[in-house]
Amino acid sequence: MLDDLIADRRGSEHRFTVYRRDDPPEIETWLATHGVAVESRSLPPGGPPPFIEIETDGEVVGIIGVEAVEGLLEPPIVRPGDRDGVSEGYRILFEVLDETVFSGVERRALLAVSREIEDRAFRVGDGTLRVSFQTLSTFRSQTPVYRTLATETDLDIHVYGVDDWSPPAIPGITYHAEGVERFEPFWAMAFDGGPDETRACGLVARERSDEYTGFWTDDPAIVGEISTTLDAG
Amino acid sequence: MARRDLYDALATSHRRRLLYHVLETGESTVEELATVLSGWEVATTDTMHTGEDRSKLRLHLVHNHLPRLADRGLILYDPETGSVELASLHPMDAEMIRRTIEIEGPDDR
Repeated sequence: MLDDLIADRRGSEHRFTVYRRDDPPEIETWLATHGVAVESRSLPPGGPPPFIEIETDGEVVGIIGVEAVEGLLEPPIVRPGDRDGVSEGYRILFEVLDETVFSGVERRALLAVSREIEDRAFRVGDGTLRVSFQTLSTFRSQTPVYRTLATETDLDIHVYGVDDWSPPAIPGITYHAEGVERFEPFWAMAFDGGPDETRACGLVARERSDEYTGFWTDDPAIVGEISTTLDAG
Repeated sequence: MARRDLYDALATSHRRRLLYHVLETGESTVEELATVLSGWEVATTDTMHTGEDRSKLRLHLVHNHLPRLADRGLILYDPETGSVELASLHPMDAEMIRRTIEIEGPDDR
Protein backbone atom coordinates (compact mmCIF):
# COMPACT_ATOMS: atom_id res chain seq x y z
CA MET A 1 0.00 0.00 0.00
CA LEU A 2 1.14 3.57 -0.56
CA ASP A 3 1.49 4.23 3.18
CA ASP A 4 3.98 1.33 3.43
CA LEU A 5 6.05 2.81 0.63
CA ILE A 6 6.23 6.09 2.56
CA ALA A 7 7.01 4.30 5.85
CA ASP A 8 9.83 2.31 4.18
CA ARG A 9 11.59 5.50 3.16
CA ARG A 10 11.49 7.35 6.46
CA GLY A 11 15.01 6.95 7.72
CA SER A 12 17.84 9.34 8.25
CA GLU A 13 17.28 13.05 8.10
CA HIS A 14 19.56 14.98 5.81
CA ARG A 15 20.19 18.68 6.10
CA PHE A 16 22.08 20.88 3.65
CA THR A 17 23.63 24.21 4.62
CA VAL A 18 24.83 26.42 1.81
CA TYR A 19 27.58 28.90 2.70
CA ARG A 20 27.60 31.72 0.21
CA ARG A 21 28.06 35.43 -0.37
CA ASP A 22 25.39 36.36 -2.90
CA ASP A 23 22.29 34.92 -4.49
CA PRO A 24 21.36 31.29 -3.86
CA PRO A 25 23.14 28.98 -6.33
CA GLU A 26 21.00 26.77 -8.57
CA ILE A 27 21.52 23.69 -6.39
CA GLU A 28 20.12 25.51 -3.32
CA THR A 29 16.97 26.56 -5.16
CA TRP A 30 16.59 23.08 -6.57
CA LEU A 31 16.90 21.42 -3.14
CA ALA A 32 14.46 23.90 -1.59
CA THR A 33 11.83 23.39 -4.27
CA HIS A 34 12.13 19.62 -3.85
CA GLY A 35 11.30 19.63 -0.16
CA VAL A 36 14.89 19.05 1.03
CA ALA A 37 15.87 20.73 4.30
CA VAL A 38 18.26 23.44 3.16
CA GLU A 39 19.41 26.64 4.81
CA SER A 40 22.06 29.20 4.07
CA ARG A 41 24.73 31.13 5.94
CA SER A 42 26.47 34.18 4.63
CA LEU A 43 30.19 34.36 4.00
CA PRO A 44 32.17 37.60 4.11
CA PRO A 45 33.47 39.03 0.83
CA GLY A 46 36.94 37.85 -0.08
CA GLY A 47 36.36 34.53 1.68
CA PRO A 48 35.90 31.07 0.20
CA PRO A 49 33.84 30.29 -2.91
CA PRO A 50 30.37 28.93 -2.01
CA PHE A 51 30.21 25.44 -0.54
CA ILE A 52 27.69 23.05 1.01
CA GLU A 53 27.80 21.22 4.30
CA ILE A 54 25.80 17.98 4.40
CA GLU A 55 24.56 16.64 7.72
CA THR A 56 22.81 13.36 8.48
CA ASP A 57 20.96 13.04 11.76
CA GLY A 58 22.82 16.09 13.04
CA GLU A 59 26.31 14.93 12.12
CA VAL A 60 28.49 16.41 9.37
CA VAL A 61 29.09 13.77 6.69
CA GLY A 62 30.50 15.89 3.90
CA ILE A 63 31.58 19.32 2.73
CA ILE A 64 31.78 20.05 -0.98
CA GLY A 65 32.06 23.13 -3.20
CA VAL A 66 28.95 24.35 -4.99
CA GLU A 67 30.84 24.41 -8.28
CA ALA A 68 31.86 20.76 -7.83
CA VAL A 69 28.28 19.71 -7.04
CA GLU A 70 26.88 21.57 -10.02
CA GLY A 71 29.60 19.99 -12.17
CA LEU A 72 28.53 16.55 -10.94
CA LEU A 73 25.00 17.28 -12.07
CA GLU A 74 25.93 18.27 -15.60
CA PRO A 75 25.12 15.43 -17.96
CA PRO A 76 26.46 12.84 -18.30
CA ILE A 77 26.00 12.25 -14.61
CA VAL A 78 28.62 9.91 -13.23
CA ARG A 79 27.28 8.22 -10.17
CA PRO A 80 29.61 7.04 -7.43
CA GLY A 81 28.26 3.49 -7.69
CA ASP A 82 29.89 0.95 -5.46
CA ARG A 83 33.46 2.15 -5.83
CA ASP A 84 35.47 1.94 -2.64
CA GLY A 85 36.46 5.12 -0.97
CA VAL A 86 33.40 7.03 -2.07
CA SER A 87 32.77 9.31 0.80
CA GLU A 88 29.55 9.29 2.74
CA GLY A 89 28.86 12.85 1.61
CA TYR A 90 28.84 11.92 -2.09
CA ARG A 91 26.71 8.89 -1.38
CA ILE A 92 24.19 10.98 0.52
CA LEU A 93 24.24 13.69 -2.09
CA PHE A 94 23.23 11.19 -4.75
CA GLU A 95 20.79 9.48 -2.43
CA VAL A 96 19.10 12.83 -1.89
CA LEU A 97 19.13 13.54 -5.60
CA ASP A 98 17.69 10.10 -6.39
CA GLU A 99 15.13 9.91 -3.70
CA THR A 100 13.93 12.55 -1.34
CA VAL A 101 11.78 12.06 1.67
CA PHE A 102 9.92 15.20 2.66
CA SER A 103 7.45 16.08 5.34
CA GLY A 104 5.11 19.00 5.83
CA VAL A 105 5.58 20.49 2.38
CA GLU A 106 2.98 22.64 0.69
CA ARG A 107 0.97 21.81 -2.37
CA ARG A 108 3.07 24.29 -4.37
CA ALA A 109 6.31 22.32 -3.83
CA LEU A 110 4.63 19.10 -4.94
CA LEU A 111 3.28 20.79 -8.04
CA ALA A 112 6.84 21.65 -9.04
CA VAL A 113 7.91 18.01 -8.69
CA SER A 114 4.77 16.85 -10.54
CA ARG A 115 5.58 19.21 -13.40
CA GLU A 116 9.04 17.67 -13.66
CA ILE A 117 7.61 14.17 -13.85
CA GLU A 118 5.04 15.25 -16.46
CA ASP A 119 7.71 17.10 -18.38
CA ARG A 120 9.99 14.06 -18.40
CA ALA A 121 7.12 11.84 -19.58
CA PHE A 122 6.37 14.38 -22.32
CA ARG A 123 9.97 14.47 -23.52
CA VAL A 124 10.32 10.67 -23.53
CA GLY A 125 6.92 10.56 -25.26
CA ASP A 126 6.29 6.88 -24.66
CA GLY A 127 5.50 4.56 -21.75
CA THR A 128 2.95 4.54 -18.97
CA LEU A 129 2.11 7.43 -16.67
CA ARG A 130 -0.15 6.79 -13.68
CA VAL A 131 -1.44 9.67 -11.59
CA SER A 132 -3.64 9.70 -8.51
CA PHE A 133 -5.44 13.03 -8.21
CA GLN A 134 -7.22 12.18 -4.93
CA THR A 135 -10.53 13.32 -6.45
CA LEU A 136 -11.39 13.66 -10.13
CA SER A 137 -12.41 17.30 -9.57
CA THR A 138 -8.76 18.00 -8.67
CA PHE A 139 -7.92 16.84 -12.18
CA ARG A 140 -10.16 19.56 -13.67
CA SER A 141 -7.52 22.32 -13.60
CA GLN A 142 -4.94 19.89 -15.02
CA THR A 143 -7.05 18.80 -17.98
CA PRO A 144 -5.27 21.05 -20.55
CA VAL A 145 -1.83 19.74 -19.48
CA TYR A 146 -2.97 16.13 -19.71
CA ARG A 147 -4.77 16.71 -22.99
CA THR A 148 -1.44 17.87 -24.43
CA LEU A 149 0.38 14.92 -22.87
CA ALA A 150 -2.13 12.46 -24.31
CA THR A 151 -2.48 13.92 -27.80
CA GLU A 152 1.12 14.90 -28.54
CA THR A 153 2.78 11.70 -27.32
CA ASP A 154 2.30 7.92 -27.32
CA LEU A 155 1.96 7.90 -23.53
CA ASP A 156 -0.54 5.55 -21.96
CA ILE A 157 -2.04 7.72 -19.20
CA HIS A 158 -4.07 6.44 -16.25
CA VAL A 159 -5.82 8.89 -13.96
CA TYR A 160 -7.10 7.76 -10.55
CA GLY A 161 -9.53 9.73 -8.42
CA VAL A 162 -12.71 9.51 -6.42
CA ASP A 163 -15.65 10.21 -8.69
CA ASP A 164 -16.90 13.72 -7.88
CA TRP A 165 -16.72 15.21 -11.37
CA SER A 166 -17.05 13.84 -14.91
CA PRO A 167 -13.82 14.40 -16.78
CA PRO A 168 -13.86 14.81 -20.58
CA ALA A 169 -13.05 11.76 -22.70
CA ILE A 170 -9.54 12.16 -24.11
CA PRO A 171 -7.94 9.45 -26.29
CA GLY A 172 -4.88 8.09 -24.47
CA ILE A 173 -6.31 8.76 -20.99
CA THR A 174 -8.08 6.08 -18.96
CA TYR A 175 -9.95 7.15 -15.83
CA HIS A 176 -10.20 4.91 -12.79
CA ALA A 177 -12.87 5.93 -10.30
CA GLU A 178 -13.83 2.50 -9.02
CA GLY A 179 -12.33 1.19 -5.80
CA VAL A 180 -9.94 4.11 -5.47
CA GLU A 181 -11.25 5.49 -2.15
CA ARG A 182 -8.16 4.21 -0.39
CA PHE A 183 -5.98 6.39 -2.63
CA GLU A 184 -7.92 9.53 -1.75
CA PRO A 185 -5.42 10.86 0.84
CA PHE A 186 -2.53 10.35 -1.62
CA TRP A 187 -0.99 12.37 -4.35
CA ALA A 188 0.86 9.72 -6.32
CA MET A 189 2.55 9.56 -9.71
CA ALA A 190 4.53 6.90 -11.55
CA PHE A 191 6.17 7.22 -14.94
CA ASP A 192 7.96 4.04 -16.04
CA GLY A 193 10.41 5.81 -18.37
CA GLY A 194 8.97 4.18 -21.48
CA PRO A 195 11.76 2.42 -23.42
CA ASP A 196 14.40 3.74 -21.01
CA GLU A 197 13.87 2.80 -17.38
CA THR A 198 16.61 5.20 -16.27
CA ARG A 199 14.08 7.93 -17.04
CA ALA A 200 11.56 6.46 -14.59
CA CYS A 201 10.35 8.74 -11.81
CA GLY A 202 7.57 8.90 -9.30
CA LEU A 203 6.13 10.49 -6.25
CA VAL A 204 3.95 9.48 -3.31
CA ALA A 205 2.65 12.01 -0.82
CA ARG A 206 0.00 11.75 1.85
CA GLU A 207 -2.08 14.81 2.63
CA ARG A 208 -2.68 15.85 6.22
CA SER A 209 -4.22 19.23 7.04
CA ASP A 210 -3.06 20.82 3.77
CA GLU A 211 0.49 19.52 4.14
CA TYR A 212 2.08 16.63 2.36
CA THR A 213 4.48 13.97 3.63
CA GLY A 214 6.09 11.44 1.36
CA PHE A 215 8.90 11.00 -1.12
CA TRP A 216 9.84 11.34 -4.75
CA THR A 217 12.19 8.96 -6.49
CA ASP A 218 14.12 8.18 -9.66
CA ASP A 219 14.52 4.53 -8.68
CA PRO A 220 12.82 2.36 -11.35
CA ALA A 221 12.06 -0.44 -8.85
CA ILE A 222 10.25 1.92 -6.47
CA VAL A 223 8.45 3.59 -9.36
CA GLY A 224 7.35 0.08 -10.38
CA GLU A 225 5.92 -0.50 -6.90
CA ILE A 226 3.94 2.73 -7.01
CA SER A 227 2.62 1.80 -10.43
CA THR A 228 1.63 -1.70 -9.34
CA THR A 229 -0.15 -0.38 -6.26
CA LEU A 230 -2.18 2.11 -8.30
CA ASP A 231 -2.88 -0.46 -11.00
CA ALA A 232 -4.22 -2.96 -8.42
CA GLY A 233 -6.85 -0.33 -7.54
CA MET B 1 52.11 42.59 19.55
CA ALA B 2 55.54 41.87 18.16
CA ARG B 3 55.90 41.67 14.39
CA ARG B 4 57.26 38.15 14.59
CA ASP B 5 54.08 37.09 16.44
CA LEU B 6 52.01 38.29 13.49
CA TYR B 7 54.33 36.59 11.01
CA ASP B 8 54.04 33.34 12.93
CA ALA B 9 50.27 33.73 13.08
CA LEU B 10 50.14 34.15 9.32
CA ALA B 11 52.54 31.30 8.56
CA THR B 12 49.92 28.70 7.63
CA SER B 13 46.99 28.90 5.27
CA HIS B 14 44.55 27.66 7.94
CA ARG B 15 45.57 30.42 10.35
CA ARG B 16 45.45 33.10 7.64
CA ARG B 17 41.95 32.04 6.64
CA LEU B 18 40.84 31.70 10.24
CA LEU B 19 42.06 35.21 11.05
CA TYR B 20 40.52 36.62 7.89
CA HIS B 21 37.13 35.06 8.66
CA VAL B 22 37.14 36.36 12.23
CA LEU B 23 38.38 39.74 11.04
CA GLU B 24 35.51 40.06 8.56
CA THR B 25 32.77 38.63 10.78
CA GLY B 26 33.97 39.93 14.16
CA GLU B 27 33.16 36.71 15.98
CA SER B 28 32.78 33.04 15.28
CA THR B 29 32.77 29.63 16.93
CA VAL B 30 35.04 26.58 16.74
CA GLU B 31 32.31 24.67 14.89
CA GLU B 32 31.75 27.42 12.34
CA LEU B 33 35.49 27.83 11.77
CA ALA B 34 35.96 24.09 11.24
CA THR B 35 33.22 24.16 8.60
CA VAL B 36 34.39 27.38 6.92
CA LEU B 37 38.04 26.23 6.72
CA SER B 38 36.95 22.85 5.37
CA GLY B 39 34.68 24.53 2.86
CA TRP B 40 37.42 26.96 1.85
CA GLU B 41 39.77 24.08 1.18
CA VAL B 42 37.35 21.92 -0.85
CA ALA B 43 35.91 24.83 -2.83
CA THR B 44 39.33 26.01 -3.98
CA THR B 45 40.77 22.57 -4.71
CA ASP B 46 37.69 20.91 -6.22
CA THR B 47 37.75 18.12 -3.64
CA MET B 48 35.44 16.94 -0.90
CA HIS B 49 35.82 16.62 2.83
CA THR B 50 34.26 13.83 4.82
CA GLY B 51 32.96 14.30 8.34
CA GLU B 52 36.23 12.80 9.53
CA ASP B 53 38.32 15.33 7.57
CA ARG B 54 36.38 18.11 9.21
CA SER B 55 36.84 16.56 12.67
CA LYS B 56 40.61 16.38 12.15
CA LEU B 57 40.70 20.00 11.11
CA ARG B 58 38.60 20.91 14.14
CA LEU B 59 41.08 19.13 16.41
CA HIS B 60 43.93 21.11 14.87
CA LEU B 61 42.03 24.30 15.56
CA VAL B 62 41.37 23.37 19.18
CA HIS B 63 44.83 22.01 20.00
CA ASN B 64 47.01 24.24 17.89
CA HIS B 65 45.75 27.20 15.90
CA LEU B 66 43.25 28.76 18.28
CA PRO B 67 45.40 28.65 21.47
CA ARG B 68 48.37 29.87 19.43
CA LEU B 69 46.50 32.85 18.02
CA ALA B 70 45.04 33.62 21.44
CA ASP B 71 48.54 33.50 23.01
CA ARG B 72 49.74 36.02 20.47
CA GLY B 73 46.89 38.35 21.29
CA LEU B 74 45.14 38.20 17.90
CA ILE B 75 41.92 36.57 19.07
CA LEU B 76 39.98 35.92 22.25
CA TYR B 77 39.24 32.22 22.47
CA ASP B 78 37.09 30.55 25.11
CA PRO B 79 37.73 26.78 25.06
CA GLU B 80 34.69 26.22 27.30
CA THR B 81 32.09 27.74 24.99
CA GLY B 82 34.06 27.50 21.75
CA SER B 83 33.55 31.20 21.05
CA VAL B 84 36.18 33.06 19.05
CA GLU B 85 36.38 36.85 18.85
CA LEU B 86 38.76 39.22 17.19
CA ALA B 87 41.10 41.00 19.61
CA SER B 88 41.54 44.72 19.07
CA LEU B 89 44.04 44.83 16.24
CA HIS B 90 46.17 47.66 14.96
CA PRO B 91 44.76 48.72 11.55
CA MET B 92 48.11 47.86 9.98
CA ASP B 93 47.86 44.29 11.27
CA ALA B 94 44.29 43.96 10.01
CA GLU B 95 45.46 45.22 6.63
CA MET B 96 48.27 42.68 6.65
CA ILE B 97 45.81 39.81 7.29
CA ARG B 98 43.60 40.98 4.42
CA ARG B 99 46.60 41.32 2.14
CA THR B 100 47.76 37.74 2.74
CA ILE B 101 44.34 36.43 1.71
CA GLU B 102 44.34 38.55 -1.44
CA ILE B 103 47.81 37.34 -2.35
CA GLU B 104 46.88 33.75 -1.61
CA GLY B 105 44.33 33.93 -4.41
CA PRO B 106 41.77 31.27 -5.10
CA ASP B 107 44.09 28.39 -5.92
CA ASP B 108 46.68 28.47 -3.16
CA ARG B 109 46.27 25.76 -0.61
